[in-house]
Amino acid sequence: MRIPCCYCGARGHEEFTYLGDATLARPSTEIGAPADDATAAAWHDYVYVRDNPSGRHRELWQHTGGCRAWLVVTRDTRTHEIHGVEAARDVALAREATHE
Amino acid sequence: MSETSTLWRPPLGDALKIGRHGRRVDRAGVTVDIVRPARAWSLVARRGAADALAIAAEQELGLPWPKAPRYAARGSTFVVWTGPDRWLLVEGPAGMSDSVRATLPAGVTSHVYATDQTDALQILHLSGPRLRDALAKGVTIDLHPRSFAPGNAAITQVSHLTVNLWQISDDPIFGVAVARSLAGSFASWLTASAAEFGLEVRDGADI
Repeated sequence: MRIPCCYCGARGHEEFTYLGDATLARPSTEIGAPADDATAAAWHDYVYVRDNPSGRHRELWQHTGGCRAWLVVTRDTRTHEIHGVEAARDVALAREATHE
Repeated sequence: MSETSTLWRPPLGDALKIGRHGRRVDRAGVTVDIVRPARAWSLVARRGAADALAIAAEQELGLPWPKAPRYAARGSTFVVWTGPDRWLLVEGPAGMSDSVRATLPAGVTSHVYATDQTDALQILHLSGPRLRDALAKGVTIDLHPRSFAPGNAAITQVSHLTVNLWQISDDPIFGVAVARSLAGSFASWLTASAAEFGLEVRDGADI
C-alpha cells in the first residue's frame, strides 16, 4: 500500500503510522459540568467504541518516517485503495470554522 | 574569549574513518565528505507567519525559501524543507575557527521558533559515479534523474533510519542529515552498501 502524503508525495506505508478513526469528534463537555450518565456514555463511546467498516473509511495516519504531518486518509478497507489525503490540520480548522 | 584551536569531532564519532574503504579501485565509486557546519538550526514558523518568514528570509539570507520539499543554497548557507512550516538552516562550513559562528538575522527570528542543531545532526555530502547504486540499497524513494533533480529534498528512511536527503547538483552530489544518535548506524549501512564500489571518506573541512 502506498499513501500519497499531501506534502511529500507517494510513499510506502512503512513510513506511516496508523493513528485511529478520523470520524470521531471529542465530546464537547463544558469544564466543571456534572459528570452525568449522558456525559459518561459519550466519553465511553469516544474512547472505546469503534466501527469496523467494510469499504471507505476516514483514518488518521502520521507520516512518522517522513515529514511527521498528521493526515486524514480516506481508504477502502477491503482493497487498500486510497481515495483522498488531506492535512489533518486543515480538516481540524475546517471543523472548527463550521462549529463557530 | 581566548583563541583556542578546537578539536572538532563529527557527531558520528569514529564510525566513518577518513580514508579509503571497501573495494580497491582507482576512483572510489562513492565519496563522503563529512560536513562541519558553523551553525545549524531547525526553524518552525510561528502560527500564520510562514509567508512573512519566506519574504524576510529571502531578503536577509538571499535564499529562495522552500515551501515544498526543496533545497536551496547561497554560498555556504543552505536551507532544506523538513516538513510543513519547518526547515533546516545551515551556515558553514566553519573552516578552522569557531569565531565565524553566525547568528540568525533579526528579521528571520521574529517569525520562527529556532533551535540550535549544530551538534545534534551529522551532515554528509555524498557523491561519486556509483552513488545512486549505493543509495538504492537503502532508500525506498526513486532517486532517478527523471523523478529527483537538483533542488529536490525528501525526508525518508534509509535502512529504517529517518534522514533528510537533498540533491545539490547533477554530478550527482546529495546532502544527507541524520540525527547524531543514528549517525553511527547510518555510517555502518553506508560503509557496507558502498563497499563493492569503493568508498572514500574525506574531511569536509578540506574541500
